Amino acid sequence: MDANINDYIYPNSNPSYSNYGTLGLIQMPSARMLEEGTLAFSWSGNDPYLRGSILAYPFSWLEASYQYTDVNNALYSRVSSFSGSQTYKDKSFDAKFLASKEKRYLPQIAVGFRDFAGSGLFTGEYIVASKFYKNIDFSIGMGWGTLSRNKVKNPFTVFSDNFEKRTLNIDTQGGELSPGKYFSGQAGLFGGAEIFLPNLKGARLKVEYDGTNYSEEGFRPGFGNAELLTKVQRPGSSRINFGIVYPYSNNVQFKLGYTKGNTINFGFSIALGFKDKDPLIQKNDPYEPVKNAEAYKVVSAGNETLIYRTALNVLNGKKLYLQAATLSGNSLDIAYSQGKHSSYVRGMGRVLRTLDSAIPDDITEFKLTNVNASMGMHQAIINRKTFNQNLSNNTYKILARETELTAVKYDKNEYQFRPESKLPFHYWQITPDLRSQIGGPDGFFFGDLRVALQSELIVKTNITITSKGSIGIVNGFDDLKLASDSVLPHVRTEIVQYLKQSQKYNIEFMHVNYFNNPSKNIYTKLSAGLLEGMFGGVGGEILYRPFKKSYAIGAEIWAVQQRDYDQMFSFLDYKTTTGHISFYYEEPNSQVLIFLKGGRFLAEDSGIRIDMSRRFQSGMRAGIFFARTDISEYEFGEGSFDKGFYFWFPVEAFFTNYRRGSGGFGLRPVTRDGAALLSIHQDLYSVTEATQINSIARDWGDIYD
Amino acid sequence: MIKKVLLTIFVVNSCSYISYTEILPTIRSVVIGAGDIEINQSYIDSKEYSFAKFKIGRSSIAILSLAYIKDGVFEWVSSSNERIFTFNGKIIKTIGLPHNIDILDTYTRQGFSSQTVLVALDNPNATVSQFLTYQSIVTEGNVTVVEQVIFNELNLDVTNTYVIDESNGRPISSTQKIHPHLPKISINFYYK
Repeated sequence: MDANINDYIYPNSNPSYSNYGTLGLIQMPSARMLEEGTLAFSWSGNDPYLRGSILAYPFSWLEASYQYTDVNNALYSRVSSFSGSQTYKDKSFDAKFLASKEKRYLPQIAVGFRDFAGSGLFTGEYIVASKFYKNIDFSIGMGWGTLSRNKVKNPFTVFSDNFEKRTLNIDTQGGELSPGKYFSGQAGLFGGAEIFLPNLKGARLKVEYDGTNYSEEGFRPGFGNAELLTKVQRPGSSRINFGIVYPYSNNVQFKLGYTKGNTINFGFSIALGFKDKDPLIQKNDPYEPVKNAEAYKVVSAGNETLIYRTALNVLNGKKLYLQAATLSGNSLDIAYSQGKHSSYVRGMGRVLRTLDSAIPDDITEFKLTNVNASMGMHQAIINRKTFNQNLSNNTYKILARETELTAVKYDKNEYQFRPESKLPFHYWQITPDLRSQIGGPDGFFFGDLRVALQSELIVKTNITITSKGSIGIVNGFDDLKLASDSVLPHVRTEIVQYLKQSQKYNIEFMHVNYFNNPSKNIYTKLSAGLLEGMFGGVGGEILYRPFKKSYAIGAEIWAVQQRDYDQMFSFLDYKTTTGHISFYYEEPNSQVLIFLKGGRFLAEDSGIRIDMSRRFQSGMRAGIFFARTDISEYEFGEGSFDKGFYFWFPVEAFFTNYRRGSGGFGLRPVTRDGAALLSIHQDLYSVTEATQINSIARDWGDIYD
Repeated sequence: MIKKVLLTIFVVNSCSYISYTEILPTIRSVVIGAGDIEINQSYIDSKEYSFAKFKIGRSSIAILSLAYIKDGVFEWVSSSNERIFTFNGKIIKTIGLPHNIDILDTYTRQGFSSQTVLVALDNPNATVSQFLTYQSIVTEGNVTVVEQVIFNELNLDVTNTYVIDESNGRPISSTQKIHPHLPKISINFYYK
């Protein structure tokens, strides 16, 4: 019997989640990790807490998560006019680092931090080891903070007396790291096992020795904001917890458990892997041969005009838009744009296969220039014979060696064949739209379901007018009333005014853009109008993005005025000038992008913003950001400084055919005015993604796709 | 249209933002399933070669054309190069499916006879043994063969059916589960 028969006897064997949101046993963590590029959501109820967690695995060695915990034994505040009877909502970040992978005789070891940058209600650190033996996954670990119930001497006190005591300071303003207290104070042991049941679709039993120090967790008498406490957490009558996990699939799990000897818990989790290309749905969008291709070849042979018209016709038929062309000797130079393929290489490959099938055989070389917003992105010079020789076996790496890729400055006037576009041209689409406000004192969630019209009017090939307006259908904003308490100009904290006063209809943005490519590697953009939901004005960007490098440098400046709350055409009094110098570096192998932005922000504070993200081969990008400016923590308010995370998903991941576009999800724990940036659409770094060789090289395997 | 890869946009802070653009059609296709392919006489007439309609689960439907016949094994090929090999209508090997099988040479290709066979599964890779037993039911002009398959190591027991045209011995249709991770496959065979 094959060793991997276990994959069939114990299918759906993805690790399961603890009630604290991250991978683990029932209450305790484990050393397990999901595959890098995985995003997950888990939800659990374990009195007095309801907890929802978003987890990301940007690397195989890092589990990062963000939790919202509904603390049902404490009030949001004692001021009923402020938060009514709403219970406390705690926000926290967890992280777990893989120290070593499981080996035949050695366990997997991880080091983790619970609630390390939140209010500290659940703060704890741990070192945990997990090891499979047959169908049982054992975990044993040592915890600090809220994981220190089963007391042992803190081993780190051997190194320093600083580890003797732990500062029990619950700071509900939160948001900052406290490295001084990590792994300090009392330590405790915990452990347990996850027993996989044979031929039950991956179902498993869990049992654990609970190391949670419930007397140090959450709200309790005599500590921190004890005045918010409405009911003391039920003390545990047993340290042994039990649970069962039933996976509906490898990525969807349901769980039920019994903790503390007196509490039933339940929950579910969903995980989606975005590491690889086409991650969710298999594509069925192959290259379709050109009809009557041989006839095109015969008819256009030796006739330059007919070759141009053939190229125009066959490419346009595949939504690969010929912009200009020049035939010189045996080389056909084509400038094209395309909006279907998010992989620039697949777009290039489809252009090549289309031309190869219909253009006379005496053309031996194709010179392809990719164009976006009338700016040259890159140029590829490809020998036709080499392209075809490598087609049947998809030996794309050999083709790569024979292909010349360069930066290009696109000037349509340099081409012989310049078909006239019918301009202006209008793209539009009507889509559902959802605006939401979560985690405020007025209520946990306020939603606004809308119908939005998004449009792009192409006036000239490098001048566009982009806009988005929407009409509200239904919302729950009646109880939303939080007023700004910011001491800074209210550039973002009047969000409630914006949401409520634009609930019937609004124009989210409407601006004109002018793009230019003054020389190779340099790109510019000017924009004017209603730039985003809260600001309108005029400004521009310049970007230097050398083709064969991994970095880019940009500068931008915007003169803006705050829009009125109804998000139509009127403005408030607040005006400012904001601008930044930006530096981008993308490490080509890991596709980790580091994006630094320094300058003056909307509330006229100055400082630096750091954004780090990783793109996966599927196109999903996961990132975090934070900013520090010349305002104090008091001036910033709750959260101390601006920070958050975001994900961008390729829309085509959800379809069987290729299509360009992204859907995004981002979250800041707290809305404040410090370090606020303009939300610019079609920023130059995004629009010029195809101008760097890394963006081509990463997808080169798609050339024959 | 200007192509863009958006980096960081937050419509409102302290709240989540997701673009629902184009998500709805996905949900619709998941709920409703993909459209069926109706095989009528004109469709049959339009085909040059024998073909088979394969329906995997409730939604995936494909037409595969007969490419080769060798030693009683029919090889069916789809336009996207999935290949399915059948013997008496029973799938004995697949290539290109999300989960493939290959019944190893222990399979006795002598009609439907009880036997134990080894099957190579992929994604994940494993080799399992199956115990096959058969029962035949004769109806008007056709024989329905009911195959009981016991995956010995997996505590999995499935029932497959094969409808055979008694006049020529050719399979007309079949329903079979071939891989633990694939739903049942329904096949209708059309000969030319």
